[in-house]
Amino acid sequence: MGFLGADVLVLPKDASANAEMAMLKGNPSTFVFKNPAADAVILTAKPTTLLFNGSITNRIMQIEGVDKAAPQLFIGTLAHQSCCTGELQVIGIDPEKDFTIQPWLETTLGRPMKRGEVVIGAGVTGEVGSSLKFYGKTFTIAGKLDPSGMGMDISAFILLDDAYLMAAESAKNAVIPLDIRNGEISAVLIHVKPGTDKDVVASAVNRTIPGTYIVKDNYLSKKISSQLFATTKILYGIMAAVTLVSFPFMALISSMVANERRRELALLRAMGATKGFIFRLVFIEALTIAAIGGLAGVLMSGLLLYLFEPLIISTLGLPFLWPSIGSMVVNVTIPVLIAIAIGGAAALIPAIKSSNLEPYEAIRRSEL
Amino acid sequence: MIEARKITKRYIDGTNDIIAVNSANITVNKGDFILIIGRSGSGKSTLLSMLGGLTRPSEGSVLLEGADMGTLPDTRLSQIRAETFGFIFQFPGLIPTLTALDNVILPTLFCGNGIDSRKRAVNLLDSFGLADKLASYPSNLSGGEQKRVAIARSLINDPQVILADEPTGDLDVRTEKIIMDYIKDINKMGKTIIMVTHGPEMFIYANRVFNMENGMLSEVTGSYKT
Repeated sequence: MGFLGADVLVLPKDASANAEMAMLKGNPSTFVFKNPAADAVILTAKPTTLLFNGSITNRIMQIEGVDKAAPQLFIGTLAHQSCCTGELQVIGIDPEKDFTIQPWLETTLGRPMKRGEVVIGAGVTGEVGSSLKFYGKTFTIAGKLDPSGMGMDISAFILLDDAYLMAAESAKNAVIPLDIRNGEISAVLIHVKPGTDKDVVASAVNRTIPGTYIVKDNYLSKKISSQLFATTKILYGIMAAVTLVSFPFMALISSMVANERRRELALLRAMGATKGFIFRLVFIEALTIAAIGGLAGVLMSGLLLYLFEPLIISTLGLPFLWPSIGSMVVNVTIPVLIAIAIGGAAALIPAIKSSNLEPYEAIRRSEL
Repeated sequence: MIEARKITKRYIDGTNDIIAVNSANITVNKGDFILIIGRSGSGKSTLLSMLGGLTRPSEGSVLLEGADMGTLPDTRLSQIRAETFGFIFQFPGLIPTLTALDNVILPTLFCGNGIDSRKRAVNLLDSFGLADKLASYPSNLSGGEQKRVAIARSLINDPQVILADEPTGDLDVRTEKIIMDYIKDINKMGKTIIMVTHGPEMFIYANRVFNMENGMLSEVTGSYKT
């Protein structure tokens, strides 16, 4: 899993403790960005302003194996302030070097982004043609990206030049002005040439440009996997426990239901029902109940997931994307089939016992 | 049409071997109204269940039109129960989630005699004075009405034999007479009735009476009709 199609992501290291970065940036006060915050930006788009000097883009381009290098400027907008529509991650892009949303612009928008326009993520509220305001500057929504499950879903993309202009004018337009100068950037996204080892490029960047924090494309998936590992382990444990507990519980319920209906089943036998009919009646009834229960459980889980989606994202600090229709069908079908299997297995013995009951004895005992 | 030859039914109750019916012989002819009387626990209900193919005898044989029911497979025996016998129990035994009409139709599930089950059920309920109760659930019917639905149910597959196990046991005297009159009418229609009961009050309806005592069956002869 890469970030916006990049093979390698170059971020500023903790600049407050890094002199070389300070030289590159020229304004140490803006190096407030911590590496974990960069992760937060990428994963959940927690709005943050990240800065370092744009000249490194050219230096990165000179490194062997680098195909494209796209600078980006990360600006966190202000919450609950009149100068900003809301708290968002605004990302400034260079249209000439960008390879992240540029392909989307070409295919979907059919034209380059213009000055004063913004392209928003799928999770940002706003329709094409309406306006958003960042640091007192108004932008027109030119397009809306497809959901990605990543931080970019709640990000807004503007042109770098607009970002610099917005920063420059923020002193008079915004409640809290931005301290960003022309040429400053937050990250460089690298696309390596085909057949090039990404690790080699990452090491070269690290060597060539000291003070950078390198994120490789598999870093995010590894990070998400490691975060999910514990959660999934717990969930699998709970599932196994529930499954184990449910079996004897369902067997008990099936047995009680069959026992409760002894007289009814015996009457059916007296009317001419065969043993096979009684077995099928009890067994299919158990399967039906299990299927309905399983389906209700899955639907209830889906509803809870939908309702608590924002809470899950903020609690786990992980991106969330609903699976495709095909995956959903599989995700619904498998638990329902498991429920049916457990229900069927649990009803097997009660069904056999019911089919073998002595009809007259069962009727007489029920009369007492 | 039914002949029981030295049928015995044994039960194991813990370590005790209980003989519920002991070497009973009985021949039932078509159109008979047979009354089997005896105290509680005398074995009369067990005998009835063996005659109706609900219980297989431990010893002896029950022949239906010459065929030994004890040796038949379950599917064939079930078919015989569906087509040849109609059961009436002391309790109505109606399915509470089904209407009176559906309760009457229920046994047709197991009988492939090709009858128009709904039409026949409506006619039966009508003949038992329940035309206005077709859509009623058992909980909305009186004890007598429920019993009449049960009798209608026992007749839906047009069986040759009706086996009634104390069908008036929990009814008041007036309702008891109504029910017995219905059963007698069924007998007059040519159906064979085998009924077990506690006391001798039903003698007037029967043409043959048997007494059951400690599992031993004996036919009562002479002037039992008072």
